[in-house]
Amino acid sequence: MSKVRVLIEVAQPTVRGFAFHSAAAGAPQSAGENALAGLAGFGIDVENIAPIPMFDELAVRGFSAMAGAASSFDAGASTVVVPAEVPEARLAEIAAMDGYTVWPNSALTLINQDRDRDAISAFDPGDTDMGAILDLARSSGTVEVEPYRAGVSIRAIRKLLGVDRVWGDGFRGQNIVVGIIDEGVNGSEYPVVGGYDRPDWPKRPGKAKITSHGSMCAADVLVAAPAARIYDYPFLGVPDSLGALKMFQAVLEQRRLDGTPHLTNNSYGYYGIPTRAQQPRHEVWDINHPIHRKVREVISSGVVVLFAAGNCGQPCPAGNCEKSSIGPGCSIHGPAALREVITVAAVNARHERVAYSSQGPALEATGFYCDKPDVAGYTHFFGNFGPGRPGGLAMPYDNGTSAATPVVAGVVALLLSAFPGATPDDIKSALVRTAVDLGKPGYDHETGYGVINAAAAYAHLQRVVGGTAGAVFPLRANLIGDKY
Amino acid sequence: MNPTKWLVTTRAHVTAEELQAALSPNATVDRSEPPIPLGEDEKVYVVLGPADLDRSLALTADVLGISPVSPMTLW
Repeated sequence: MSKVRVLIEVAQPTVRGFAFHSAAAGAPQSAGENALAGLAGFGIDVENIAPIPMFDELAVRGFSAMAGAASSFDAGASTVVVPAEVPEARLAEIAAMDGYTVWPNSALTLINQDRDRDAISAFDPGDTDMGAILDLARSSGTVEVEPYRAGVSIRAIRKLLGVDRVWGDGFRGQNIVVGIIDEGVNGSEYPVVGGYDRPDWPKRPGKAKITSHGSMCAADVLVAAPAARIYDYPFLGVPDSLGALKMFQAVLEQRRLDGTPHLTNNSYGYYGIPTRAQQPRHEVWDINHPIHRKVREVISSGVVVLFAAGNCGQPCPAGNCEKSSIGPGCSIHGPAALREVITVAAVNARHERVAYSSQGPALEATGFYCDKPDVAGYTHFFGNFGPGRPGGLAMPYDNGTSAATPVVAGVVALLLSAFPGATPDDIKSALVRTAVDLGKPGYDHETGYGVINAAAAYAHLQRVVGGTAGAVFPLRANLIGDKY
Repeated sequence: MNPTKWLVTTRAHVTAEELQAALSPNATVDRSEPPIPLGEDEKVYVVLGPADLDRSLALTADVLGISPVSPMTLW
């Protein structure tokens, strides 16, 4: 059974914190085991580190005034933190018990003392730390390589996106439906209200596991647009262009019926490139492949379509990338290289491109657009995965350009809820014109026009499109007839 | 060996039977997959056939193109 390293905070009768810690240092493991006596039988291994007292902030205020070599001053601590390894399967159970709080114990790395002194918290920073997060996101265009830093909270990502500005005007993605074409979404946790639901298709919308890739995408849409709803278009088995073609046709059919979905998220793509001589009609070479034509039809119908740039960037491409599809000029192709789609690269909360995010220019093929990606979105945060998140620790955090793309999709949903008349062109234009440019000034093939900012895009659309009536579904014809 | 899946684009009026007649004997229209409309006057059939069907299928005024079905990965 796999175990994870965590910090367990235990409530206990108040002790004199410093005295407790000094005494525990003599036999740290048994002190930890004593503190966790109420969790006997959970298979917990206590680390050989003395439990750490946690003081109330008021109790330690003024410590410096009382400091002295012989100071006998102490303070009450009503909880202690015990480092331990816990069976992953029992984490949620422990976290739900009264008197125990489970915190992540994420790996740290040595950091540069000046720039990184206030490194982004691995968990949920308080409001006072948000300034540090914004300061660290300096847009200098660096690259994060393995081992990757700890994840950050959704709150940090929301702050970086500037969603407060839009939420403050009452728009949280309401009345917008996001189609997620993926391996399926868990509808118990996420607001699935429809999707690909056919008798001949073994997968039903909303029936996927909480640890599914599609559930991660759903969580990440809701980062910016918590009031948006989801259509689930699940692939069967290995995704392929036929599966995508069928799903985009279903999108188009639904669109014809009631004008939904308003956008689709597509966090998948091809991982190898045959030569043009070998397969001239392969999707990466043939702009008229049915999948590309269908995607363009869907966009023409008013749907905003987002594709992940891919995870085959240098210097740390994903393991499943074939050599032919790694790095600049090779790693963005197929639907992600269509001019009309919004192609999304990935950065972390410090505005560093994560080292696997695919780089442009896109594969040079007739009809495709070389200046990709268009923008970057955030990845490596606790969305569906992470301590206390619905998907648990099956992955350390939401990751990949797969996570970055639905973050951007959520911002698109947010904008569409405020500007329902905006076209896919309007939305793309707003995102690229207001993106926070990274690295060298101007467009580049690493992160496109930069990382998106919801507040700036919203302000841009207010000027260009005007009006904020908000998105509403059309009234049913009979309702209009009956009532009026 | 499993047959390879192909997407064959035809004019919208072409039936599955007519397409089947145009195919070589070792290729079959997959009737379990309803054709997908494309543009104003086209549709796409799923055809199962040999790996080199793209080289042997004769394009006509009604059978407009053949495209592969390539696997993808979730990023």
